[in-house]
Amino acid sequence: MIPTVPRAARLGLSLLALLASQHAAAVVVTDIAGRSVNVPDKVERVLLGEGRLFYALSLLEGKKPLARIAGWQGDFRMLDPQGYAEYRQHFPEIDNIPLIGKTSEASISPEKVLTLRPDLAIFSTSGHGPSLDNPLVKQLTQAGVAVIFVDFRDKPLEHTVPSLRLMGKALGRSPQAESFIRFYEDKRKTIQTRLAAIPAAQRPLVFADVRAGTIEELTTAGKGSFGELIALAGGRNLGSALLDAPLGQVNPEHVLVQKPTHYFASGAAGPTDKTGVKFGAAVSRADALASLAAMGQREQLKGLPAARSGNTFAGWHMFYIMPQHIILAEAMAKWLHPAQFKDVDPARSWQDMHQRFGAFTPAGTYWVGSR
Amino acid sequence: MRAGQASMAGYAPAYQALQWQRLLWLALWAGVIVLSLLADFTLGPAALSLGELWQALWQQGDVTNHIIVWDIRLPYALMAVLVGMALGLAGAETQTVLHNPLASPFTLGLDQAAALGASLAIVLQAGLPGVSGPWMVSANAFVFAMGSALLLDAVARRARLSGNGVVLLGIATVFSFNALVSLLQFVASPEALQSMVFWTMGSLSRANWPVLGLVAAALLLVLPLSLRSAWRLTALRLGEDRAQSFGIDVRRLRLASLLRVSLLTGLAVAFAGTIGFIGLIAPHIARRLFGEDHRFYLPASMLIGGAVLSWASLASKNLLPGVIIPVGVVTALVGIPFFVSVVFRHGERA
Repeated sequence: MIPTVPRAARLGLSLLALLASQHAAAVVVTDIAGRSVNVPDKVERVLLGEGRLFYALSLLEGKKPLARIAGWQGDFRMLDPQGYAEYRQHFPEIDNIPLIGKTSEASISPEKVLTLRPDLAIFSTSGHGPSLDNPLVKQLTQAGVAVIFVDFRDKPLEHTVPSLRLMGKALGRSPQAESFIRFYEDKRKTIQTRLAAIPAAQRPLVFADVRAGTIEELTTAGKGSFGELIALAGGRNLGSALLDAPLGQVNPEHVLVQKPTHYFASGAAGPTDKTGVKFGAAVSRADALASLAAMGQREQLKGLPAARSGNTFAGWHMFYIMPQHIILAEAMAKWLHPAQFKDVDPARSWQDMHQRFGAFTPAGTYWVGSR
Repeated sequence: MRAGQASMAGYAPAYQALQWQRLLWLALWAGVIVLSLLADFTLGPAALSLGELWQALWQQGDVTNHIIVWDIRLPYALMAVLVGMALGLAGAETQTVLHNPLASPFTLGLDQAAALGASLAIVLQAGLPGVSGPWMVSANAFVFAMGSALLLDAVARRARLSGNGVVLLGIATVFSFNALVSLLQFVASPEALQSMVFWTMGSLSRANWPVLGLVAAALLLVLPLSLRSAWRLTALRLGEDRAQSFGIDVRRLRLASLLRVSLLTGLAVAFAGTIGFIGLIAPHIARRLFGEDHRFYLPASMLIGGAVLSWASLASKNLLPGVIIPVGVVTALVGIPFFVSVVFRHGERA
């Protein structure tokens, strides 16, 4: 019985807060961190703990994706400058959205956040924004702001749907959220059904070179994140057996002796960057392919035929933080199992998705394969 | 007179025996390095047999095995030994010329200067003219370490600082460079930040044959010079005044020594990141085991540094299968118990 006492106390407090709040709270939601949050029925000012939560938000907000954003962190602007510039072309007012920090939790100014007077704050359970134990969460809650935690990064396959559903409820966009969830689940089911007959041993071993070329040490995807997407797409991720974290440093010798047959690289380099795989709104397919080829030629991958001449494939790094990763999974599945996905056209799915759920279809290149 | 001569004659065999004993200990440490190198070379996730390793050494057999042996195992293993030796020797000289048991290239700010140079290259892509690509980070680190050492020396000479003064100045440098590195981390993108973090944790993954050649050449250049100064350095341990009374130009000795230290540290840190800890512990272990005679103390500290980093490299690659734990982290964890046990067993008597 003891554990229920604080819960009752919390409930009492939240009821008090509810009464004190000027907003009439109509919905109680449970977020990804397991917190119960009262969400006002009318949300007009949304704060994004990470700018790149906007990728998810843009799926729900139709043709006016920026209208309710009261503030966000600078990571969208700084880490995806190409995407940001493209949004600016369509929505010049994007530059007026106040920044609450640069690209890290440490850079966030709590005072700035409070002065923005949001009704709803959406944070990520991990990553570059305020974390669960950040005092800002308490401060916002005390100020009557609903704070919800979502996750598209650590466990993309498990948390994407509930995160979107949660955002739909909190933003009053449940129909849009449910509609995207159907789109997402359809894609996922198609991939899973077509791969069901392929036994684990016959699934190709994939080495994931995360942010290839931008870190001297060989870093790979472990459990979660890209590792999960590779598994969904019918591959065996080499790093999943080694690392519990989503990302870690591997011994190149281990990679060589495992003899992965497929090489996957992620990157978000711009058109003029000197290193890394190029992707984004301003990158052409030819540039992306050339940068992928260059990554395979790195000294560290000497002796890895898959990277040099074999089955190479690369995807935009930002897929690791957005529900749109389902299209990357589809493209990856087609790369790993071409026979099973002959009739599937990921480029078409990408366009469909943006026409149905986005403000516009972005230009540029987001994945390429060597064949 | 006669009694004196007799007792002198009596010391000679004892002295001879002590010399032999010390030489034996040096040989033992060299043996430890050889064993550790062998282990580092033979152990790895590929689980190659001795036969396969032998074949690969002669470029026969499986191509993957060649690459594993020639591009991964040998460079990593040798890099650990050479970097450890460079830091061990540099640390030994630093402690002597600054007359401070807490001094090391790290306390002189050389590691932090190198870190600042490396960070500038990683975060702002700001490098030296004509240097680009993978060499940029290392070149920057080296230039900053050398520059910082020269600056330190210029200030110390102008202000006629004692050894302790130099140490304090060095510590001031550590904190200033630290602040600048943090500032860069603050503006860095997550990717650059990750690179910086990896860099500061120390890594042997930049090891390749040209780099090994460079570090080996520096050691071959510096070691004879250090040994030539061994007598004067030993005398300096008796105190600056005493050394001066022997006719030793202490300031000149100190400058030459600091230059050697910067060259070794600059190169080691430029390619392996900050593993400064070796420069502090190796000299202490050497002093406990070999005493103050620099003809033995200097090479001993060098060999001990090489051995400790070689063990650390072995552990960093083999503790978790397939994963590399940053070698700087392991160095501290492997080195500290050993360091503590030596200090306590042969500890300074109060």
